[in-house]
Amino acid sequence: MKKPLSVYVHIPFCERRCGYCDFVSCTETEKINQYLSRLQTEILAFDFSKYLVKTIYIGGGTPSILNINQLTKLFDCLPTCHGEITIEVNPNSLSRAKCEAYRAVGINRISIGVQSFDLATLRDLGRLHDVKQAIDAIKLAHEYFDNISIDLIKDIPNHRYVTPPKEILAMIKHISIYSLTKDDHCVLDTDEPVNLPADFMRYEVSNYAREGYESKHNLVYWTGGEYIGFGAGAHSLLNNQRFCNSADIFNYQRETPVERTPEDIREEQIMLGLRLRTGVAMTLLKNKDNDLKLLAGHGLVTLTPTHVIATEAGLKVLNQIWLRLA
Amino acid sequence: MKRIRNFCIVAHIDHGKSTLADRLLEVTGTVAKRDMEAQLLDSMDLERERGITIKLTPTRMLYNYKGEEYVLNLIDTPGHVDFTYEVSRSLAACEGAILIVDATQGVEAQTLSNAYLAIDNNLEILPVINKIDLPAADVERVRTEIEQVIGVPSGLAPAISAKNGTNIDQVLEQIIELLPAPVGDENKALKALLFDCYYNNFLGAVCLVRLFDGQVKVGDKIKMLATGKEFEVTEVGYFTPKQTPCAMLSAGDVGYICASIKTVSEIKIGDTISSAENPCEPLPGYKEVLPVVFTGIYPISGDKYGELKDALEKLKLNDASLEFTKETSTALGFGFRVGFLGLLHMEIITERLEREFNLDIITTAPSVSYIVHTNDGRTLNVANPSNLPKAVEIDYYEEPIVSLKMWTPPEYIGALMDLATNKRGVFVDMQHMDNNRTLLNFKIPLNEIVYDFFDRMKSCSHGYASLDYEPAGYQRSDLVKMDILLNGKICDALSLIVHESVAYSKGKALTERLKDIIPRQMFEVPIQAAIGGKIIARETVKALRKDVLAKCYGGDITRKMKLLEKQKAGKKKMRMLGNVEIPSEAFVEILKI
Repeated sequence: MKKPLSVYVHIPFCERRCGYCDFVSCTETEKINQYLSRLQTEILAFDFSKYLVKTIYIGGGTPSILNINQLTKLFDCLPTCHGEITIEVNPNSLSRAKCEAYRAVGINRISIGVQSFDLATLRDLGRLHDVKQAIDAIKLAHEYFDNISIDLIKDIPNHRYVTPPKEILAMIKHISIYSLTKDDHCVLDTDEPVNLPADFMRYEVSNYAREGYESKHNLVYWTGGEYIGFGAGAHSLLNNQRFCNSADIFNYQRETPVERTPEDIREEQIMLGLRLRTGVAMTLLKNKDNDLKLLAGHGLVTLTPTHVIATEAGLKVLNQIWLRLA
Repeated sequence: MKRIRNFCIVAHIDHGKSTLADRLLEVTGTVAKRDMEAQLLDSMDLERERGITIKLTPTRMLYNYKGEEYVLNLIDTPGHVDFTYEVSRSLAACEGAILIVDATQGVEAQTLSNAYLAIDNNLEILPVINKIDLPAADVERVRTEIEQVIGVPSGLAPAISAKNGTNIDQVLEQIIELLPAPVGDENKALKALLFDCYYNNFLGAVCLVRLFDGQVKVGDKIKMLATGKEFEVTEVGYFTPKQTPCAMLSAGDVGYICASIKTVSEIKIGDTISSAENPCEPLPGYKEVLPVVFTGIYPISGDKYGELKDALEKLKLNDASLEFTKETSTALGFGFRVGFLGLLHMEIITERLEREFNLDIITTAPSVSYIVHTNDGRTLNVANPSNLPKAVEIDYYEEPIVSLKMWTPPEYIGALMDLATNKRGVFVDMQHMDNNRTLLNFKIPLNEIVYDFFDRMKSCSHGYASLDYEPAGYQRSDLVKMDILLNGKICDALSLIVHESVAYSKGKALTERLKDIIPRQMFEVPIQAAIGGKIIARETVKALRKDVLAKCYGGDITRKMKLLEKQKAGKKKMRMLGNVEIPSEAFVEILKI
């Protein structure tokens, strides 16, 4: 039996860096080929024979910055995958030709970095596209792909979250809406309502999907599945060890793996489970009856016979709930 | 015995007791100059750090005067008002006292009270004027003040600088010439005053004694007259200031006795030690001290209760005045109600618990001991507000009152009057000692001065005023118990007994303060102050609006866990009261209201 595995590939290049983003990235696009050759060596050195690759995710950075030639080369060294294959794209670097190429290499899910449907917000975030370009990109992607996701940011000081237009909502299957953060803390105390149609289910703190369109790749992260990350700053969880590559883009190295203790795993599972609609298995909790009663009494969690599930109110103060339950 | 002098040094705090003691040790060659460490007799770190003397330390010095060798036994004493009790203990072991007066400050509140204590104990007073090296020194004025205010002749008082070692030989000369030698009979039955003790892991309790009659040596059977316990002496000796064993102690000597005494509860400070076969009449002893300030001390985490108990027991071995009993708080769990001689004493003990025993503790608001008369005619002593009977059962309260003496230059009289009156002080009288110094007498509830009175007095007199107080009985008073409710539940550890007249303003100030201290939590926390079920003030800690990590992907999980672990570590410093998390400093902060 082969073990299931998910694969992440990091493309750390952008036309311009955005102030709110803390992923590893640079603007030295002339050195993409140099980076790709290191990346290929890394991928080819990995022994996939024991694994069944369930999902692949090409993230960034801006993966849509790769030209068709570069993209094809990358996919040549990636293992076969019959499941979800996602690529992150920016509205201004998507084209019909690229869409065709994506389909050709097997990509079946497009995640578009829209960020906002408000022009002033896009400008202040430092994005290179406007609202119209974003809408056009979604429409274009829709011609080629069924499974489309968009990223949005809300709770930005002095800006208003704008709900995606109806015609757009009709074309997409998944939305990630992040509260703006700085140093991992939400910038504002406010929590703007997302106003999505009821068929977008909030299945994770910041993720909404139509039924059956939850991100399979991300669910691997959130449910403790194994994944291997390739490229600068990419993280992996394999054989109960967490490890990552350094952030030095053209000379990244794998850093020392850290073995998780059973307590680490338990605390992680509680943290991740609380974020999910499926909740945390009661069996992970130790003597927390009083805390559960209190949290339920304040409407922060609902209790099923087997699970604890955070409510809408609870999702806003998840850290506090975790501190009570872990 | 003619060549023994037993004396102590008394003074107002900071007038130079410990420095003079150091110089005496140096000049008599007891401690070689190269081994001198400033304030040698203050052996606790805390004593050196704070520049105060807490424990008594007796030291034997040898001094050659006019061809004869004299034994000088010095008993250093603490100067702070909280430790008056320790001063009186050392006085009982001496024939004379050096009274140090600061040449720049003159006579202060405790100069006077300590001088009177010494006079009451029939001690010969030897005034010494210190700090003549300072530019502001006015030796002649201070000389006059000593005569006028204290009534002790001071014409011969040596003017010295303990710091620079000026005229120290004059002090030694006068100790020998003017202080009386002890009288006693070596051939009579052993009669020794136990004036202090400390615990040594190898020797057991080390009893500090002054022999009045008889002798004691290793192997003697001794008897503690008050407790009736008998022991066999395993070691006798004196301090140089190192513990130095010797063959025998005789009448007139000051030294120590060890007798395999395992616990300090087997002996009583102030007791008379005599021989087991032939006991003498007990010495009058001295006034037993009662704690005046009480506070609850609880471990922050409940499982440290055992450690806290051990720590208090160890401290008690060295500090006979420390008293504690078990108590339980619904909010804080198991802990102790601890009695102290005063607030400085309390601060020192809590600091030692934290530093020497590495314990994280919560100290509840200090309280004094009230007398409560109930409707059915019972009389209760209550030091813990949560032990009060129900309000409807209480007929009336009595609270402890003290006579407060404040010494001040005349320009601060108004400010000090206001301070004392605001604290429910009743003015008694005012005496002008000289042009620079006025003595204000007040009767004031002890409760009002236990927390920050001293600091306030210092600040409203620019540091010039000094104070002293002594218990002056109990007085009927309109007191009420004020409860603090968190989330609708009474938090017993925050209850206070306050005077009716200030209850409203205090309730308001307290709830406001708590609102600032208690961090936002998952849900709103109402804070209420109530008197007998009636809410008099309310504040609300608003619920946390948002505390969640927005993104969490593969690479983030480790980092997010680190963040959460950090938050978790912060929580450990919090105490859960019911469902509310309170930082431990909240309990101290509310004292500052």
